[in-house]
Amino acid sequence: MDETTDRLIAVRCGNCGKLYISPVYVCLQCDQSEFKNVELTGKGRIRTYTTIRVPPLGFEKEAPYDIAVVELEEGVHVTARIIGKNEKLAIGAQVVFVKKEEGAHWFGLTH
Amino acid sequence: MNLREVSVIGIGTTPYGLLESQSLKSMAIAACGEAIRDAGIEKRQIQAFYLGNYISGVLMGQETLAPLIAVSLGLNREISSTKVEGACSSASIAFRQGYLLIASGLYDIVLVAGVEKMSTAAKEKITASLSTSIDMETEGQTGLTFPGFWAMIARRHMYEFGTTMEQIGMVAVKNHKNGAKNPRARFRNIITLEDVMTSRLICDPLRLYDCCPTSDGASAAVLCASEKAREFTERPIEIAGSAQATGFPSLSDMGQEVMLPATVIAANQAFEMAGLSRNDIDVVELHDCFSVAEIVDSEDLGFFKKGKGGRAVEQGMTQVDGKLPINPSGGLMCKGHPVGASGLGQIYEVVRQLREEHENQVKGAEIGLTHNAGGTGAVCTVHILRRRSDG
Ligand SMILES: [Zn+2]
Repeated sequence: MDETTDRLIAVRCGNCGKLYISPVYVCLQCDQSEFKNVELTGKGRIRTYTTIRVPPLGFEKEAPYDIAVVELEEGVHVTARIIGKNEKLAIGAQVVFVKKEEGAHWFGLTH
Repeated sequence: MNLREVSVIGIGTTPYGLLESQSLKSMAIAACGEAIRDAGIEKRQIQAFYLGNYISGVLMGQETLAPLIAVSLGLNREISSTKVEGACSSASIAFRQGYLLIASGLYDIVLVAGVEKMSTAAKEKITASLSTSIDMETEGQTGLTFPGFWAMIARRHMYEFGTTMEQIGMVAVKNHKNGAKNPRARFRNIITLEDVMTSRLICDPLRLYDCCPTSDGASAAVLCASEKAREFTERPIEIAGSAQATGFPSLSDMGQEVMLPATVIAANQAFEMAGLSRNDIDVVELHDCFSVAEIVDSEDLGFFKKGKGGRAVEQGMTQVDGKLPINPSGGLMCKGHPVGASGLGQIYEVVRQLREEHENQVKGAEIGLTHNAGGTGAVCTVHILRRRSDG
């Protein structure tokens, strides 16, 4: 969980092929539990977003920061941090995966 | 399985707000004591005790609350005392457990309560501990908070349905107008739409007045088999429907950002159980932890078509004298949200409505509905209460 990686890894059910980006223990579609890692392109679009101005404990120094639900090209959704102070956040805006750090996915706006 | 009918025969509550001199115990005991007196029962007649609480372990360093309170309250030690947790639905789950035990025929009288103590903790600690019902394997790691969760739902709802910040803000204005008359509410002030829309940004686009205040408080109810309720009260309120469903612990897993599926499921179950339709409901206390949540919930409960909740607020349909009064108590937004108590706080308010003794009385209210969305909608409860027709 605490390692940093610049590859966006998801898992695909070995039986029915359903794709997951959240941790998965049994396939919710077919109840099997054999998964194989797949690397995603990292390209996606913002479905919705917010700027957190009142942070929880541990995030005080980072606030304000942007969070979005990203829909990846492959169809899965992930809640992620958007790097930087962004003035052009919008629903439908294109983003690309940057890194996964301490369990959080980070994306950047593509210009 | 044949379920017995169950009624609420007693209610009690503390006011909600900053109760600095009060402890978890003193609040819970005050609410329980009032409910027991209101029911006209003896403590020794109580056969089980269920308590809702969300974060006393993290915030107050106190767990095993149910026996702690049962002993201090002087309940019979031969009965079970159990704490249940389901974030904002904790007290509703306690209520439902009491209902199930009586409906099953196991017991005749059960005491249920909910309590939360929040005001003495630091703001960051509260935000962090409230966030513990966000999945810490996924969204929790990003620094997402509950205002942030609802802010993202607000933005998507506006995008898909044209809901406006004015409509969202009108929920806060209405609920403050209602709460101003409720002596149990934390805030008693009337606010304007301009106040809401110029208040401090918390999580864009939600501002301070779009968020419910943390609060201290406790609420309780005495439940009794309906066939025995008349021994104690002239005005029992029957539980016509009780449902609880499971949703998603994170927004990204929902596949959409405009509804809480568990609210939809629980509502359908409760209405089916009660044999009632949406039109039969006279008064609603629903989970307005944020202004936008009231709009989303009112749609998910089936009162308005998806996307039309904002317009319903704008048209005044949800005012006390509207077609479907929502949160005449002031709701969580104005009354306050002591998380583990709020579900029974709603029951308290609806029972007063059905007894026709509420400060914001809905004329002739006979059937009411309460709703909680726990966490990210992971635990949703719906209860339908009805004045006994023979009463
Ligand atoms: Zn599968």
